[in-house]
Amino acid sequence: MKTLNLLLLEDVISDAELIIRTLEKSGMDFVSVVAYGKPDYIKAIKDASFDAILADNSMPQFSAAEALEIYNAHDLAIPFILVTGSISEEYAVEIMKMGACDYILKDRLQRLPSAIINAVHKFSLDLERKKYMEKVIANEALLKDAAELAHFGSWEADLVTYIQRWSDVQYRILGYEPGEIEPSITNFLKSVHGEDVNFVKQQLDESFTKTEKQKYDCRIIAKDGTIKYIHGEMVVKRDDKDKALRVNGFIRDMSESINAEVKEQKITADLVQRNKDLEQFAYIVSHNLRAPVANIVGVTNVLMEEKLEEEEKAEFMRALSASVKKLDATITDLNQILQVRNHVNENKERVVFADIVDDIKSGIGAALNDSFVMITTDFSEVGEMATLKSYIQSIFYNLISNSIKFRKQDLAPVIEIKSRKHPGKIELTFKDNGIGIDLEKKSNYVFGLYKRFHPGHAEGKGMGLFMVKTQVETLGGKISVASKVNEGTEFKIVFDLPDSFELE
Amino acid sequence: MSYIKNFIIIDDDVINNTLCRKIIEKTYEGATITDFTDPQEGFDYIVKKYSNSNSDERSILLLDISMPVLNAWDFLDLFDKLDAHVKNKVKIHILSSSVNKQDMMRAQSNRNVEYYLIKPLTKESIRLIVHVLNKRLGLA
Repeated sequence: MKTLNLLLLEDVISDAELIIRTLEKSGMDFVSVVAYGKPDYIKAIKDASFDAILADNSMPQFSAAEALEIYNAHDLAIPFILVTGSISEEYAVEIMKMGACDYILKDRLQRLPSAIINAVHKFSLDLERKKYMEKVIANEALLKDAAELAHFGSWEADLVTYIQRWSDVQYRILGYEPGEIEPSITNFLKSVHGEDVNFVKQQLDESFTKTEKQKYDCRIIAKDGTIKYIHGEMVVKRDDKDKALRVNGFIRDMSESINAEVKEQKITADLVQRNKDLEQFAYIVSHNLRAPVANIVGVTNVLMEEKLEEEEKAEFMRALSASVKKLDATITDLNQILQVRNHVNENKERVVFADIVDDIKSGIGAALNDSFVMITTDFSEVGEMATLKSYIQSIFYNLISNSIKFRKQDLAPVIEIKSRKHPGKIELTFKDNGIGIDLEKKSNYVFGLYKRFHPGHAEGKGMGLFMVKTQVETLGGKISVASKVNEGTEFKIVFDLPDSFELE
Repeated sequence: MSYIKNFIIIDDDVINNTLCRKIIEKTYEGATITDFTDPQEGFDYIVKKYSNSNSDERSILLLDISMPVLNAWDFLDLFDKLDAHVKNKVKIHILSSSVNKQDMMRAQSNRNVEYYLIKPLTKESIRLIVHVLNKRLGLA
């Protein structure tokens, strides 16, 4: 043990000497400072650091209680030992409560050395423990910060006591405040996405059959409804008899990186689509725009270079005129198509499906009556959406008029239009009893520009379905088709309803 | 007049067919010209004309690419499955408005296609393909 530095508070010199002699006799290695009153005492504890304070209780000007108060005020991590003549039990208790470490009666000074050594030892242990605890707390805080930064949540289920614990981050990843719900595997599974929950359960079961870590990835639905992607790992801890004691696991919120990945994939898909659009545009220019031009060139060559009968001449003039009109129509089509993608910023408004159908019915009333068309609608599940009205009009118009154009000759056309609501989605179906499309052969082309399937039907221009698809996709939707030759065709449109599509 | 005097035109564009007919008539008096706007009908005509015939009579087919239901590539797939003696009689020439390299390469790499012609058809181009064919077949 190192040399102890003691502060003696004692106004009677002979008493101080007696204490010092007693300590020397015990063989204690120490130095000491004697304070003879309050000013000395205050100066001493301010100026130097001691290992213990030994205070007399019977000074006329300066009581031990007062000395203790000063000692407490300085927050000294050293023992304060009262050395006193006589003392009542009550006073002793009082003074110990105030913070004194021990008290020694002057007629039993032989106990003093061991009391000092014990007290000093106890204080140094306390100090060490305190430092250790501070370190542990700091480490834990660091760990907690790290867990929060890395979106790490941890959990534990004791299989003996059935006590389960979640870290704060575990709660937060699931969208809860710490302690808001019972920390349990059952509650965790409740947060797991419905499509993934069986998989996660299976992972849990499997982890009980092995000693190594079980890893899994799944989606969870946080309390506020947001979907998060998490990576989880868990391990079962066992005793030496292989009995499972507890399960430790963590989950990590991977949403940020996965969302970034998804975004990147979307950008790539967009670029691929743009590229395809450009290729298609080049194809259209080559075939559909150049075709009437080639006719014009050919016809004018003949008109200028050949000797023609009047009747022949007239025929070629008609061909010329028809080609020029065709060219004009193609350019108008192209213009319309190229403009579609620029209209997204138009204002969204509440579009009522039944109104759209009524508008179309009154607009093409004559055609409906001529061919005895029957349109039935069922918009009972969802009757409206917030979107671009002109697009919905065009989509409905094109699909309805397609069904009329490609009706069966001997059968009155029946068109059924229905809307259905799914979580976050609106589905529209258009079903007819027309001549149908041979999808086995032509499924890749159904929505292609200037693709026609019915050479006998002169009305088909090969634009309608292309426009429908472009408009559906511009509104963030998807369109698919099911059809059988001679039985009819059904188009299904699904619109996602992200927040931006909600009415403000 | 060369040995080849039969022409078949398959294109859904009526104006093109009228134009081709006129150009061929003005180039080769007495040529037989048959045209179809429905490619399937044109195909059936060829099968019917040559399947059970031993005649040496050959035809030049002018085939458009972009057509509803059966485009030139579908047509060529069907044609390739025909008997060799039918295929030998029909010399296919793509006649398209397309100046797209991909279309040209795809046509020229097909073993049943002789030449790729860009619309409009002219007297010079029809003379050229007839001349080349006659020479190759030893008919000129």
